[in-house]
Amino acid sequence: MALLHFNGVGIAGMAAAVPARTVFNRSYMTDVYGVENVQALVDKIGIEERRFATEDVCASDLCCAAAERLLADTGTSKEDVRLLVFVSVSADYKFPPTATILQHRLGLPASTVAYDVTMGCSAVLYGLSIVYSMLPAMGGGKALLLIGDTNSRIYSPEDRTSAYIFGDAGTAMLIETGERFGESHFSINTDGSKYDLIMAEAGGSRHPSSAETLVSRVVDEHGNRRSLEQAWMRGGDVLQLVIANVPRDVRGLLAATGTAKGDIDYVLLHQANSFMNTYLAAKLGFPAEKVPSSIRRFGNTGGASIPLTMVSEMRGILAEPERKKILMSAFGIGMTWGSALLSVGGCKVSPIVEI
Amino acid sequence: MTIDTFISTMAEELEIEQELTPETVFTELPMWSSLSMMELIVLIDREFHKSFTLSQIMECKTIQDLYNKASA
Repeated sequence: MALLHFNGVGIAGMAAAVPARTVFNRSYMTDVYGVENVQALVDKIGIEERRFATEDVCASDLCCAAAERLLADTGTSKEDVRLLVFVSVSADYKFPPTATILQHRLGLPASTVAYDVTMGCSAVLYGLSIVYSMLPAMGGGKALLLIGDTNSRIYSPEDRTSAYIFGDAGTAMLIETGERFGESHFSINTDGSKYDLIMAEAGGSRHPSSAETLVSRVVDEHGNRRSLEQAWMRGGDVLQLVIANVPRDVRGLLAATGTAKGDIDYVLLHQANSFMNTYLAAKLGFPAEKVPSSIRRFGNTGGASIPLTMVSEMRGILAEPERKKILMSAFGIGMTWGSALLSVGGCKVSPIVEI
Repeated sequence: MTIDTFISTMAEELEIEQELTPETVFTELPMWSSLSMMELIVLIDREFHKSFTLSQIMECKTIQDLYNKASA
């Protein structure tokens, strides 16, 4: 595990935007999969509703709406934003980077450092650790960390292994430097040998887009269908990787920082699905009341899932002046996994924006 | 955990209605799905402290094979 330590940088404000269009899992695609099968699946994964962006809405639009709300609610002057990082697998274009377009759309000054990071479900660990590293090196100030995806357009609705899991969201975090933020610690890990557990194979440089890559085809004995450009997730092996590695990583971070489980106020897990998260929380040894969840209402929103959960489930708690000790644990494409120990308090959290 | 307890735990958690024996070829059960596989991975991790990949589970044919591998 790679350990990172920061002091005097933290989360000052948060906001999130979701599409207004709501998909109800218990009635979604029941004509294809059968009513009973769908109910059993929903019971297990614990995802009742998800938000799907309309065709004209991109992850950047969701993040932009969240960021505008965040800047307004925190009274942040655009001139004071020095760094913008957009973490996503749903960029507007192959290039230029989405972050540079967002710098313009948000009206941030030309002195802003802006770039994209390609990362999925573990995005919050990457985004925070990058911003926490860069901002002090820039002499401090304010940064925007935007995390969002339109997962509804990444996976095939005709592939039951992913059809009921993913939703869309965009989040914005205002990061600032200052003594009050105290210390934070991150652990980040990579196992690229398992890069194909969650993957969209075609449409990049290795397998360029063609007429063939767009054809939906049957991919297994269950009749699931997807094209080579639609992503797959080998759920069983993702589960295996997570339950084998995440508890060990969390134990390692707690040991390295001399933190007892009892010192932790809240545990934020990447919102994968209820089945996996319930087991993971139990294996980590935290009671359910310390583990906020938004999976029921929003599904798995990828990298946005932890910040979205903070906005939807912890608004009041994070606003309290006494700082809360938060353990984050996230895992996803790469494969990557890691954890973070942060203290959050006096954080201005906006209500969820619907667009 | 004995093989009998393993079978009854598996039947309960995976909601398998058929009669199970050590010789049952579990992947051929009518209700078997990718979700059953996930439940099995968690059951084995929790009870035997071993995290099996899908292919490790697929190497096992019968419930007895799976039990032997998990308890080895």
